[in-house]
Amino acid sequence: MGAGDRQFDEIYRAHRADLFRLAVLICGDRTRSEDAVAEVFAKVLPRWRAGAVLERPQQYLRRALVNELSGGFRRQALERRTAAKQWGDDRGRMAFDAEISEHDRMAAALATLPVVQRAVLVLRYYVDLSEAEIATLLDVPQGTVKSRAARAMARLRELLDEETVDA
Amino acid sequence: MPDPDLDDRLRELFEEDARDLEPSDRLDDLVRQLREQRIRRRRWAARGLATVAVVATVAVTSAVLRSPDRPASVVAGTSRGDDETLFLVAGGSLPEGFELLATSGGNTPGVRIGRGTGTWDRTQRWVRFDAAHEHPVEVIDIQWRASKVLRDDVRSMEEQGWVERQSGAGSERGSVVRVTGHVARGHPDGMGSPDGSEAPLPPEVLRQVLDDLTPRAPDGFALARAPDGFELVGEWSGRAEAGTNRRLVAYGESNLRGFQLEIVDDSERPLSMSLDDSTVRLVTVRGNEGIVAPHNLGSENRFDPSVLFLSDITASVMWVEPGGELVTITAAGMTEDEVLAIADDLEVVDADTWFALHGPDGVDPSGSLPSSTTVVFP
Repeated sequence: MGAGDRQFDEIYRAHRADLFRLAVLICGDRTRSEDAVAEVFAKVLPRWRAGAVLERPQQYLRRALVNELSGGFRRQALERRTAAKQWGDDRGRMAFDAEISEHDRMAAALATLPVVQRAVLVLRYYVDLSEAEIATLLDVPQGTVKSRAARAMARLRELLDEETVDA
Repeated sequence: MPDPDLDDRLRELFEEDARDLEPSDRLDDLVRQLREQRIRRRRWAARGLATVAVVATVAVTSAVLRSPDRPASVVAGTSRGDDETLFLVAGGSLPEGFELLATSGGNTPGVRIGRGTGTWDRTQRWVRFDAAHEHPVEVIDIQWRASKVLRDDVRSMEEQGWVERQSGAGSERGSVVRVTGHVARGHPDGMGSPDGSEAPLPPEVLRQVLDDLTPRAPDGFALARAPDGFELVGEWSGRAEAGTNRRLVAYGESNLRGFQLEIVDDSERPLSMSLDDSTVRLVTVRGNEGIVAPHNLGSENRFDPSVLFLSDITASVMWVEPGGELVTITAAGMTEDEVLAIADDLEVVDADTWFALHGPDGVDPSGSLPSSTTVVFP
C-alpha cells in the first residue's frame, strides 16, 4: 500500500461520519448521502496517489461534498420524482405530513430549498461557520453566501407563515 | 434581517437530525468498490490486446446465444443449489430481430442498491379486487410512524381521503397512524376527481378502520375487522431495501423496442407496493405469483443511458422466484402479453455462462468488484 492509500485510509476513517451527517442534513436522504460521500473519497484518491498533500482535508472534503450534492441533485431530480410516485409511502404526501409536528414542518420547508441554499444553512447553523468561513470553504464570494442565506431564510419564513395561516 | 427565533429553530432541527446519525456498512462497501474500480480501470486501459480478444469471445458467445438453433449446452438450465446465485437469460421466444444489448452485475453479493426514504415507518395495504380477482379496485393503506406530536387527537383530510390519530403529549415522542383510502389509480370510478388524483373512499369507512385498529407487539397495528371485500396484500417498511447484487441484461432490436431483465436478491419491497393501480393485473409467472402492468413497475430506470428505449416503457412484469429473488422485466414498444411470454420462457444459466455474456469490463466471476454496464452491441 502506497503513501497515498495510507493517507486515504486515515482521512476516510477520520471524516466519514462527519461528511455523512453533513450530507444527510443537506439532502435529507441517507442512501444519496452515502453515494455522495463515497464518490467524494473516490475522486480525491487519485490526487493522493499522485502525491498531493491536503493541508486542510476537512475543508477540501466538505467543499467536494457540496459540489457533489449540487451536481448529483440536478441529475437526479427526475429520478427522485419518479421513484416517489412509485413507492406508496412517498406519494406526494409531505405537505400533509408537515402538519404533524414543528420539527416536521421545518424539515418539509427546508426540503423545498435548493441544495446550495440548504448547504449554506447547514454550514452556518450546524457546523457553526461564519459567513467568511463558508465563503472560503465553498470558494465563492462572501456576498454570495450572504445572499444565499438571506434568500433561504426568507423562503423558510414564507413557508412557515403560510402553514401557520392554513392551520 | 436577523431572526433569532428561526436561527434557534434551525440549530435545534439540525442538532436533532444529526444525533445518532451514523453511516452504514454500505458506505464502506461503496468506497471500497469505487476505489477498486479505479484501480481496475487503470489496469484495463493498459490491456489493449487482451481486451480485443475478450470482446471477440463475448461476441461469439452472444451470437450463439441468440441463434435459434444454438447448442443446448450453451444456455442449458442448470440445477441450482440453495446458495447459488440465480441468473436468468432470455429463452427461445425472443422476438425476431432482438439481440443481446447489454449485461451487468452478478458479482456483488450482499451489496445493496438503495432503499426507501421513509416518510412512514411502515405501510400495510388492504385491497378490494374486481370480480375476476385480477385488478385492484379500491385501496386502503394503514401507515404509522413515531413522531413528536403536539397533542392527542384525530385529524382528517376528507377530500384527500385520509384520517389519522396522533398519540402522545407535549414534546414527547409519540406515534401517528394514518388510514388512507382511495379508488385504485386508473379505475373508471376514480376519474371524477377534479385534480386528477384518485377519488377518496368515504370518510366513515376510513374512520371505522381507524377505530378497529389495535396495537400489536412489538410494534404497529392490526386490523380487527376488515372492510367488506378487502384483503391484506402486504406490509413493508418505509425504508425497505430495494435488494442486493443486482444483475441486468437487456435485449432489443433497436433503441425503440426491447426490454431489460433485472434480478435482485434480498429485496424488502413486496409486489403489493404496486397494487394501488387498477391497470396492474395479478398473473402467474413461471409458476409464481406476479403482476403485470402497461407501465413501469420498477422503482426507477436503473440501466445504462445507452439503452435509450427504456425511457418510454409500455409494459413490465414483476415476480418473486422461489429463492426469494425479485425479478422485473421492463419493456418498451412491447405488449404485456409479449413480456409475459418472455418471462415464462426465461432460462436459468450458470455463473460461467452469465459472466461470459459480460463485456471486457464486466468479466469478474470471482470478484467483489461491481461490474459497470457494458454495451456488447452498440
